[in-house]
Amino acid sequence: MLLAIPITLLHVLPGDPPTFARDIAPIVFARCAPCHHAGEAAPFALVSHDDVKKRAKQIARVTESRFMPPWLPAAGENHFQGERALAPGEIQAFRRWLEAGSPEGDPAALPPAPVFPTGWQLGEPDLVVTMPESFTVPAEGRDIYRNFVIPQPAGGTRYVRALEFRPDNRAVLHHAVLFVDGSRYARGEDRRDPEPGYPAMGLGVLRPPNGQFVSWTPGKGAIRYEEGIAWTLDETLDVVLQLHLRPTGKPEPIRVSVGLYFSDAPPTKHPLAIRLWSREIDIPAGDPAYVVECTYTLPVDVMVYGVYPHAHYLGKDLRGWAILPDGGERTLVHIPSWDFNWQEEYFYAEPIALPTGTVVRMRYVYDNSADNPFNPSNPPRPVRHGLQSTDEMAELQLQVLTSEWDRPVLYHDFVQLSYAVDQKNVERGLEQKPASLALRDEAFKYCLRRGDGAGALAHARKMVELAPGTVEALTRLAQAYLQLGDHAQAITTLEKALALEPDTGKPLFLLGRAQQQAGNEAKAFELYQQVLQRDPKNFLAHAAAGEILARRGQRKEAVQHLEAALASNPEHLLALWNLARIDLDEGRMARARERCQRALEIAADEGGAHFVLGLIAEAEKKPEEARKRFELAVRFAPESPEFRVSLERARAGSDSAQR
Amino acid sequence: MRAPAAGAVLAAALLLFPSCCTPDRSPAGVRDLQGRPLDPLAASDARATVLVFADPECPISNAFAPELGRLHAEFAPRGVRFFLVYADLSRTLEALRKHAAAFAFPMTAVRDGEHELVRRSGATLTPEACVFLPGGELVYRGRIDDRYVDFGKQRAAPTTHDLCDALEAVLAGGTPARPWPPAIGCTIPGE
Repeated sequence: MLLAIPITLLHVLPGDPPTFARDIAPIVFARCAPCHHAGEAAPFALVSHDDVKKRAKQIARVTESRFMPPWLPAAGENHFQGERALAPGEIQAFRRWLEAGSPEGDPAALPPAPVFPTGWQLGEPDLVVTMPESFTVPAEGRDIYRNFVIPQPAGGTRYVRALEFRPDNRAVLHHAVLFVDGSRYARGEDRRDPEPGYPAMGLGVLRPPNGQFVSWTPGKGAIRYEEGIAWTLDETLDVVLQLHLRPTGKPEPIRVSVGLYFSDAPPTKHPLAIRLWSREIDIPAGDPAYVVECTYTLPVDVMVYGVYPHAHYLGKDLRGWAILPDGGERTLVHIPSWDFNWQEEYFYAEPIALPTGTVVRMRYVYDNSADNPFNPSNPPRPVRHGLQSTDEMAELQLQVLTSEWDRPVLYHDFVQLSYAVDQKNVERGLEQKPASLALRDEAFKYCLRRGDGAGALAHARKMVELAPGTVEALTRLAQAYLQLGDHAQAITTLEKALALEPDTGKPLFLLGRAQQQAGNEAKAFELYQQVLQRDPKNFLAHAAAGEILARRGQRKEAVQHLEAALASNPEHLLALWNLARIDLDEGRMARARERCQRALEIAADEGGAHFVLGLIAEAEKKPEEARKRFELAVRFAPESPEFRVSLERARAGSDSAQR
Repeated sequence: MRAPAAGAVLAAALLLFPSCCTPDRSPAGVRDLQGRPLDPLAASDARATVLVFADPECPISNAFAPELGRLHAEFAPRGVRFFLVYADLSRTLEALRKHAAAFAFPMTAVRDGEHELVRRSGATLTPEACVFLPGGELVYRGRIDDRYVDFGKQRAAPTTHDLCDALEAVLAGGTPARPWPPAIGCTIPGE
């Protein structure tokens, strides 16, 4: 300790006390004023000598405690864009300046004051979208996390090259994230809640546009994308703004606008947001250090350029790192003192290359003791995984770029992983409650999504045992038979279900599927028509009927059905790629390609879209590309005979070319 | 009808732009927001007097506005006087009147022009609550409740109600327990 004193004194007592003009203003202008100026979100202005002198004691305290400027990642091997942390010398300068009486110094030494634009930073936007109505934040209470849905005006497909968030009341807005939703899920949630918007804390089924985190924090200006990384805003997509709102002491209405700037060129690079996550969270009440760990092995080479760690109020120490194939380790992000309220995404100053076989790991520590002031429950209660503020989450999202051919492989791999995580969670639940039909049904659905017919059959049989003679259980059993390719058993089972309730749409539709699998396309078509007579908006039946008509060459009728399917569900993949195929057949190559790209933006592993892109490549005499597309189509949809035939054709073609 | 209407417009203009016609000089000493001298600690028949220091730019003292409203409603009928004390000398009375109205503070607000109340109470932060007995003795100086643990660290709901407990103790004829739990908040400008 004695030795330490002179060293400290050297720093604290140099000859010349700091002055505002020479020493403090450069730090304040760069690090404080972007948020602390009139009209911005932070509570008071820190621009002039008077502003800063008035708060000098407070500034010294909050910079020393590192509450300000807000910046969660620990200093380490990575640098992020827009780092706000102060250097130790800058923190000491505030303290020394306070102790010297906060002198102004020579005004001639003062750097030019920062200028903050008041209008749109990039000029008049091409389109401004605004929350349909204001939401009023009450005077007090917990922070509010709420989604607001903004439908798009008609205008076809547009590519967003830049955007700017413009809240009309910055005092209550802590941060905002933009998602897109083509499934109409958000609209449904919005309708269910009587107030504008609906409560939400995470992604749910919403997608970051083109795999990119799009967010606003105080002080953040317009966002401009690199060439080729625009994102597609189809007119069928809803923009969904997730706002983190903080009560101020009086009721505060808020309405947010987003100015959008469009490009004519579709994106050429498609980032992907992959995530490590766990649902195995079961934190005992009072546990001060509960650990959640996750691992993911990369199936392809990636370039990581953004990272977004996510936990709720109990998160304490969040760490993500990579173990390279050569054994070397690389920190991706480390947040030693997590604060949910300052969560944001971080973009690396230099993207990190991670080769195939790299193991990405996360280790999150949670504090569910009464000593954690953020603990939403007092006294603490056991906490499990969930989306509510009183639940917990463990997610590490990485924004990556891959080669065009690796992207679908990576997407497929991590979607399967996500299903596995969800399924494991459901199966843990089933161990506790083996008689729960709802959990059994969930487990069944995950088996189906993962292509596990045997697993699905086991769950379906159990459901028939638990609820004998019900249409629901028989329908599940038939779906499992269909997955296994046993159409005869499927048909028998569905006929039993229909004998119980002849007018039910779902078994009727599945009977169509079974007949199609058995090769009776005409019978299948008739069944789809019967479904549509009962339920004219059933998009599954429309898409399936459209597919059959397209194969028969009845393109006009096919288009009618396929477009009806898209009208009910703009993201229905089967309808999208079948329409693309008709476009191709009728010579509308660009439109066909666009539809396929749209399908792949929704799900990069949609076999049908790769199949049609393969057909386009064949038509364009690009045999190598066609073969690669068909390989992807078969990889993701091995059950399709059509895809397999195309791949064999392409392989035979390239063999004969080699000979 | 013309003449009264013109008069009304002039009156409205005076209300809207008081500073152009009746500039707010910084009045010395403690004044109410109309600029009249007022000493909150002068002898009165109140059973206790509470000063709560506030700063229009401090998000923490603003956030306590609804809680102060509840405490006022609970204790004012039981003989406790409340004053909101603005101690930021750079604010005009007009700006303070607007702030007090926007946040619906129910108690009389004063401007502590020479930090006389700051000195008499020993307050350093906003919002810091100070409780005085009728004889002028300070018996509590600290937080209102524990919803703030530190800057940016806020509980879902307070687990203590320190100012409320202090007032109950005084009304029961006792004195609040020591040590007084310290307030979390913004440094009073200039202190």
